[in-house]
Amino acid sequence: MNDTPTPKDPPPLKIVKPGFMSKFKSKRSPSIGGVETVLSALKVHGIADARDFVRLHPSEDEYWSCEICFVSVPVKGQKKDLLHVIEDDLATQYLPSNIIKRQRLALASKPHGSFFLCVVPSQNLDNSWNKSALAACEKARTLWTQAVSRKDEGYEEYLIKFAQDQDAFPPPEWPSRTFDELLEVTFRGANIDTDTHPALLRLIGAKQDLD
Amino acid sequence: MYSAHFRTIVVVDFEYEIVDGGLPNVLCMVAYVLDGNLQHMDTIRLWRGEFGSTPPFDTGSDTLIVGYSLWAEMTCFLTLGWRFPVHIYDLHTAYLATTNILLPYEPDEKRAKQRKNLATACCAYGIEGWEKIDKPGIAEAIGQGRWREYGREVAFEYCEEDVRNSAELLRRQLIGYCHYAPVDPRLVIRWSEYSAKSVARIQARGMPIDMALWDLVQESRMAVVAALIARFDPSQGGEDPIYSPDGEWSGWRFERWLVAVGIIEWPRLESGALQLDGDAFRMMRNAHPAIEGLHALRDALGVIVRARIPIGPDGRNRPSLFPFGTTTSRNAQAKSLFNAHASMRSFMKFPVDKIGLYLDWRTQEVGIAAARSGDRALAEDYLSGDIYHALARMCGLTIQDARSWKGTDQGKRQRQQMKALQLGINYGMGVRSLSRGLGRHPLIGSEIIIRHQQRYPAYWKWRAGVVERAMLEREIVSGFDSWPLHISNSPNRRTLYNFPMQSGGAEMLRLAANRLCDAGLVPSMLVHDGILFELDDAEQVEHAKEIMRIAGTEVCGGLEIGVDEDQKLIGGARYRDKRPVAKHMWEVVMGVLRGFGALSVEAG
Repeated sequence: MNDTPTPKDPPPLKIVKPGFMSKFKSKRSPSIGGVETVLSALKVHGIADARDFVRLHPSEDEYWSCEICFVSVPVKGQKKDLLHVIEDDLATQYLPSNIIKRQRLALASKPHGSFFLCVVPSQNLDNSWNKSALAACEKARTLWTQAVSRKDEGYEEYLIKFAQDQDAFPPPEWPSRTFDELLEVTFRGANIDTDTHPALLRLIGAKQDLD
Repeated sequence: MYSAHFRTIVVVDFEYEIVDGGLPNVLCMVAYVLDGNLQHMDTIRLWRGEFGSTPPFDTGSDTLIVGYSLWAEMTCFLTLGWRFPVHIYDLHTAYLATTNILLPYEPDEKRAKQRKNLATACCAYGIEGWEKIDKPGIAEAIGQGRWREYGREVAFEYCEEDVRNSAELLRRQLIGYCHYAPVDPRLVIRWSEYSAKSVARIQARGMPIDMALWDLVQESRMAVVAALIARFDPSQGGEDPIYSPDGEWSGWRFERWLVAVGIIEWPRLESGALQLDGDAFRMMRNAHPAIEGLHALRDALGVIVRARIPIGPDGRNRPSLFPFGTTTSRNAQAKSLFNAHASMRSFMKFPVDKIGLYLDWRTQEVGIAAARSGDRALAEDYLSGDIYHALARMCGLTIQDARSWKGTDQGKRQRQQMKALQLGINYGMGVRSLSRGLGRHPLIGSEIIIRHQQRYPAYWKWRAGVVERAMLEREIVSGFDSWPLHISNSPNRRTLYNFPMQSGGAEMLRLAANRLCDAGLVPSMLVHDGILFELDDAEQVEHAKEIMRIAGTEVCGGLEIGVDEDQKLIGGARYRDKRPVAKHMWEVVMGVLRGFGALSVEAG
């Protein structure tokens, strides 16, 4: 499967920051519980990296993204590279294809409300790792599911396990925020949409403009 | 034992009546006279009416005067017209030094602030006492002038119990007790010059309040509060205003307002309640244009509605300075006009024949960093007069000279960013936090740090060395007067990075305060890196500046730390903070009084 988008394809993700009022209107009615704590960026990782049982949001329309372009950017002074989303046009124009990752994201939860954005493979689905990870993601829409690497056993795939008692953990209380808002918070500043973005400058080896 | 250097040791305690913000009216005093080996020789008891024009014990260079929170005793000396002793030893300061411990870094753990009064200190040193005495009850009765309910002998007995235990605490501090190592009495005596003598003088002086205006505002409190709320509470006119008409804040209604204007994120405490301190408001300032005004309103109403500042019968605000009250040995003052919103400082008005003066050290912490690290480039950039301009040049943000740069809007914006940058670097912020503070991408934060490291390599090497040594020695001390911070396991390294600058600033303030007091230029207030004065003439102004400059230079090993005039108030001029929101808020208060006809158009 090779669905590399062409420049004519629509951008894979449009992060539109809604105004304050429109954010408010899309929420539950004002109440004492209406103000959530400052939302920090959600972690982004694959289903197996959760190392626990996982549920993915059941609504693929609302809480699963389309295919998005990603790049990892090294930052001196930070232990891990910073994951950025990047507009497909910019990615294909400036970057070698082997550093661009194309995958979907879905809102996911570990037991007791520890949310993250789960990477859902959308390319190279013939690959046994991707294939089994995608299968685990599908199952996790309705069941507490765990994906465990079988590499030690000599198999190139994940073992899909389910919680013995599906009611051992309470069902996730999914956040009221829209998926766009969650993505916007998670990738705030890590959204490469211009050719002067610091992360793109870093990846092409250009000098940073500090102003 | 070091005490043998003195012919006599006098452990002393006073009891006195006092009104909020006033000076003590001495009731009685008990003193134990000890010999150089701390053996009891004599007890002196004096009651009101028995005090002479000099102390009933020697206060010369052969004698050490000892007490707990001696600033209070020194204030009694002042009101009795007694000269200060040559050498004093404050048990409280010694206890603060012994117990100044940087606990393991646990950001999620809520720690109650430990009390450090005489009883607590005695308990820590295994000294029992006050079992037969209703200590809080008697203390309150004496303070309020109700000591007759207990009688003279009980008051004396109460006072003597403090002296007896203080003498025992001194013995144990000098020889050490359990895990408390012996204190270095030379250092305690040095610190006490500030924490007892200077602090007593400064607190006794206080800040002059325009009492006529203060009383007018208090009389018109409801109207003033209503006007301020109408102007600065953005929820007024809605169904659930944040402030009630009498100025009571509602957290619940604030939360409703946040929702109503679409602010869906606000920091919360561990308890789940909204965080409402200054940090939270500053962090969320850009979320809505009304946040800054609302924050100012909260700080200002505390002064107007609850009249939280202690003002004595002579119209002077006398806050407690709490010397050595913080980990870094900076003061932890409370209940002053400098603890309220800046607009409220306009209640301060100096007499017509005096000069009100507020001086501060120029970017004090950067100067200290340059001096202690020996980084020549940092020292040169500091001495250029505007370190923020130097940083902006380093970042390639400007090629203009400092004056032209500061005059542009872009320069002003960049200047704020450079302030955040320097502050963040002093605090040892990581790339992510620094970038967040600058409002920039982590790569920009990272790039700025790289350039800073390249320009000031000696500073970065020194900073890393300071922390490494502190971790090895489990202690870090201030560079000039050796105030210690003991280190537990897993401390917050950022506190260690910042300690030399903060403790250095505190040392500078202590040294200057001592010298100013000795020169008869007793400050009205000490504020972080600034000093407020009430002076007589231009000569005194220059003298005060000179003392501060020299103190800065001495603490910084020869690097001159500039001193700037922030406020110079002549001919009865009122203190006016320069920030727009402070000016605006004060104008609203004056507008109400003018509206009543309580104030002439030009007044205020």
